[in-house]
Amino acid sequence: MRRSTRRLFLLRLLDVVMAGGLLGLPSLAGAAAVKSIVSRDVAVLRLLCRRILPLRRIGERSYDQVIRTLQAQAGSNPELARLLADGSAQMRKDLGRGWRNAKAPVLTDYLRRVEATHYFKALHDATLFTLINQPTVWAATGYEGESFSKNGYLGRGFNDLKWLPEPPASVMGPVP
Amino acid sequence: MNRYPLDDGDLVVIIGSGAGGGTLANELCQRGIRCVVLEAGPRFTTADFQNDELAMAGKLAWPDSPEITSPSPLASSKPYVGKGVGGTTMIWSGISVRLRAWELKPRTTYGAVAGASLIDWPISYEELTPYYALAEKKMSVTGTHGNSLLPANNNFKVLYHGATRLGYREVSTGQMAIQSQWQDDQPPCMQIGFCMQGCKIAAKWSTLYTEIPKAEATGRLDLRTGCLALQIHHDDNGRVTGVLYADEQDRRQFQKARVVCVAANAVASSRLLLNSASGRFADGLANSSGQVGRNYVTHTHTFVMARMPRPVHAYRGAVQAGLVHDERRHDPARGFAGGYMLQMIAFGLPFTTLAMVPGAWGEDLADFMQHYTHLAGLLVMGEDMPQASNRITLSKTGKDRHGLPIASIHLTHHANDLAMTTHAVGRADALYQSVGAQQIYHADSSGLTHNLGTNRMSARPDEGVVNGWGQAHEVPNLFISDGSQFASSGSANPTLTIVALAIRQAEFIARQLNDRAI
Repeated sequence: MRRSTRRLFLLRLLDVVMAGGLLGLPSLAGAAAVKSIVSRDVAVLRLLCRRILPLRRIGERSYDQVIRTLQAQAGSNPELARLLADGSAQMRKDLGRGWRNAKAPVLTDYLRRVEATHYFKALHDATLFTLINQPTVWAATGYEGESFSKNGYLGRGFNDLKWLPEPPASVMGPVP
Repeated sequence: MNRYPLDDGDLVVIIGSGAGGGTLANELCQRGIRCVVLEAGPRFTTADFQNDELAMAGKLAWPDSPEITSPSPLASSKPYVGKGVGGTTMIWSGISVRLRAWELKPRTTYGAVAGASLIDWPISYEELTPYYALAEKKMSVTGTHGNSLLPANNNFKVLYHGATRLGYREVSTGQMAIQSQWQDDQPPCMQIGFCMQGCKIAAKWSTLYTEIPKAEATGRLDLRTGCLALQIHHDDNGRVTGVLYADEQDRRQFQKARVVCVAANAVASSRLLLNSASGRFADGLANSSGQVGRNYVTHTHTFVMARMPRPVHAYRGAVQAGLVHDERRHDPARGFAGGYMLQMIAFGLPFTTLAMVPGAWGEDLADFMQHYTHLAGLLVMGEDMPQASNRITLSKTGKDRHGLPIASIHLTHHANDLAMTTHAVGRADALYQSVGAQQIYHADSSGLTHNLGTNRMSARPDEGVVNGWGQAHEVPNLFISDGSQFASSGSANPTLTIVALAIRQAEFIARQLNDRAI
C-alpha cells in the first residue's frame, strides 16, 4: 500500500476499533471460551506476530494479548476467522512439517513474501494496536505512560536533558 | 428544564460552545444579553479526561464521518473536532499566536496565485489589535501581558539548539494559553504531557471551565447539551427566526431567536447553512454567492521527528510549548507564497508509532519503538491556499440519522502547499541534523485539524458569506462565529483569532440589539 493510503487505512481502522470497543480486551476466562481460532493456528500466530514486532525485553505474555485481540475480532467476524484459518494453512504448507521450529529469519522471510496480503495486514494491525498500548511494552521502550497521578513531569525529569546547554532565560520561563 | 421557553424569541441562539460559541456566549451574557447555547455533545469534566491516547481517541471528538471525495487521500480520515461543552478547546494544544498583519491581506501581499481563490480579509490587523490583546488576557497567554513563558522541557532544548544553529531568532517556549504561574487556587502547568487528551488540572484554557461557567454565573445563559442543530429557519423578510434542533431525547424542538450565531466548526457550520436551504435561499441559507462550503482551508501540516544519539523523553511536558516564527514571512524567493511555523510536538508511544511508521514491521518497527525515548519532534504548519473547489457540499447519498444529508468534503493540495511543505521539511531536517540526528521520520498530516474558510468574510458579497463582523451579507441577524469565517488560514493556529473575533462580534451584536438594528 502507498504510504499515505496506509496511514489513512490505519487511522480508519483506529476509528473502527474505537467505535467497536475492540481494544477492550476480553478477560482470560472469556478468551478460553472463545474458540474462534484453533490452537494450531494460535501457534502459527504466535510465531508470526513475534516477528512482526520482535521487541526484546518483552515476553510471551505480551503476545498473548495480541492473540486475544485476534480471537475477539474473529469471534464476531466469520470472514476474519476464515482469513486467519486460510492464512495459517498457507503458512504451514509453505514452511512444511518443521513449521513449529522455524527460525526467525525463515519466518521473517515468509512474512515478506505475504506482506501484500490481507492476512498479513490483519496480523500486523492486531499486533501493532495491541502492543503499542501494553504496559510491558512501555516499560521495555522507556515510555512512562500516565502522569497525572504522579503530578506530571514537573518534578520527574521534564527538563533533565544535560547533553545540550541550557537555553538562555530570555526564551523560556521559570520552573514554577 | 430549559431556562427560557422555546417561544421566547428575544434572545440570541448560539450553536456550539467552543472557542467561538463559548466566548461569544460569555461576552454577550456579561453585556446583559440572554443566550441559549445549543451544544451537540455532553458536558465532560476533567475527571473524564484520561492520560491514555488510545482510550481517549474519539471520546471527546465527533465520531460521525463525512464523505471524503478528495482524489489523493489526506492523512486524517475525518476532521478532528471536539464534541462536548468546550468543543475543540478540550483537545487543542494551546498555541495562541496572532496572525501577522500581511496575513490578513493575502491577495494584496501575494498577488494573484493561479488556481487559488485568494481574497483579503475585510478587516485589518489594526482593527483586530485591541481584541487580540483582550483575548490574550482572557486566555492567560504566556509571553504576553506579564504572563511568564512556560519553562523549557527536553524536547524544547533540542529544538532551541537546532533552531539557533540555523540562524533562527524568534524561538521561545511560545505563546501558549496555559497557566504558567499559580493563579489563586489554579495550579500552573504540571508538565503532564497529555494536553490533547484534555488537561486534567484545567491549566490549559478551555471554554468548558472558563467562559461557560462565567456566562452561567451571570444567570443569563441557557446551555442545552445533547442538542444537535438541524436547520435554521427564516421569515418572508429573509431574517432568521430560530433554530430547529434534536434534543437529548432526540425530539425535534424549535427555539425562536432574535439572532442566530453559528459556531459548529467549519464543516458542520457550512453543512448547517446548506441544509437550511429554502425557496428563497435555494442553494443554502445566506448562500446566493455560492460561497458557503467553498474555500475550505486547513494548514500545511507535516510531522518531523528525529532520533537523537541520546535520550530526550520528549513526551514529558506540555507537548507544543516551543515555537519558531522566523519562516512566517512572505518571501517569493523561497518558491511559494505565505509562511509557516515550526512547532515543537511530541506524542506518546502509541500515537508516535501510528503516525510516523504506520507501515513498518519487523526489525524496523522494533528498532523505532526501542528508540522512542530518543526522539525529538516538531510540526511544520503553514498557510494553505484557498481553492474554490476545496469545499463542503451535501452528500448525494449519505444521510445522518435525522434524515439530513451528511457533509461531503473535497480537499486537494495546491502546488503552493506542496512547495511550502518541501521547503519546510528541508529546514526541519537541517535543524535536527545540526544537533546530531541519526535518523529522521516524516509524516504528512495535512488537513482536517484546523478547519477554516467555509463561510468566509469578504468585502464583496459575491466573494464570501459574511462581512467583517461575521454577519451574513444577506441575513442581518445571522452570524458566523467560528473559524469558518476566516478569509485565509495564515500561518497561525486559529483559536486566538477566533476568540478575538468573538469578543469583537459580541460588542457589535450588543450595539445592534441596543440600536434595534437587528
